[in-house]
Amino acid sequence: MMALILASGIDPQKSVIFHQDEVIAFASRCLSRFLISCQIGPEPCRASLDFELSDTDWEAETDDDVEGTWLLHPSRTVTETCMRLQTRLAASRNANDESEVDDSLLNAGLFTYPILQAADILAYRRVTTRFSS
Amino acid sequence: MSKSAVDPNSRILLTDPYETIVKRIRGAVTDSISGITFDPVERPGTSNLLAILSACTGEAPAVLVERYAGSDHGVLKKDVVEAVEEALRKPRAEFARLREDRAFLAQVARDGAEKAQKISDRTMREVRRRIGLS
Repeated sequence: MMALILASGIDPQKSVIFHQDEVIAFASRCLSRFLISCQIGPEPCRASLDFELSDTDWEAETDDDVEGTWLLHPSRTVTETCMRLQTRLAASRNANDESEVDDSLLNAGLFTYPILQAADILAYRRVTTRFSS
Repeated sequence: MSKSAVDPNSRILLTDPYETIVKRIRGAVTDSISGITFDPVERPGTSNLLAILSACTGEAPAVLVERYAGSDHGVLKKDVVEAVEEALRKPRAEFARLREDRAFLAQVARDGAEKAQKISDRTMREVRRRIGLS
């Protein structure tokens, strides 16, 4: 990977290139992310989860169904939200339909992953970042 | 991210040899409309080829369209193959050279990690201070 980055023309004199796992010790990184996650209120949570779930990697619903890409929507009941989560989970596991997955596959990581992504970027004080188009 | 697409035919890797590039471009889906025009909505396949060519040569699709106005997809594909090969030749050779130089790669990674560590330490000190933990 490092050889590929350098071969594509990234200059290590200008850019900081590193293996993420070599930077912060595991325990400290978990604590850092936990501390940051404790500062995240419901609104950013909802926004980041919406972003996460509208990522192209997820099974897309129809383009005009914008609301469909919002898992947590104010007008939706808890039961409806759980059902949609199950659909998302099925898609993320490449399962054919919801019957192949159940709640046992759910974990907090599914919800907190956007915080981890944000923490990994913010820790290095970047003001711009590139992510999948 | 295109690299997470299931179909390997959907991408050309930096390390792909010439033969693979030929295969991928030749197999690229186009349409049966004659002539070459840039129209991402009506002609996504043709426009994709033009976009790739444009990215490799630096010429705008509008300029390319004039040149290929009377050509067919075969001619366009041939030129796309050569343009992609030209663009990848240097990085591919550089990759082959670099991957043998383990010591250099390790040094770059060490230097980078040191710089990144300093920056993130500063951030986390500030986070702890603002939260009231220090």
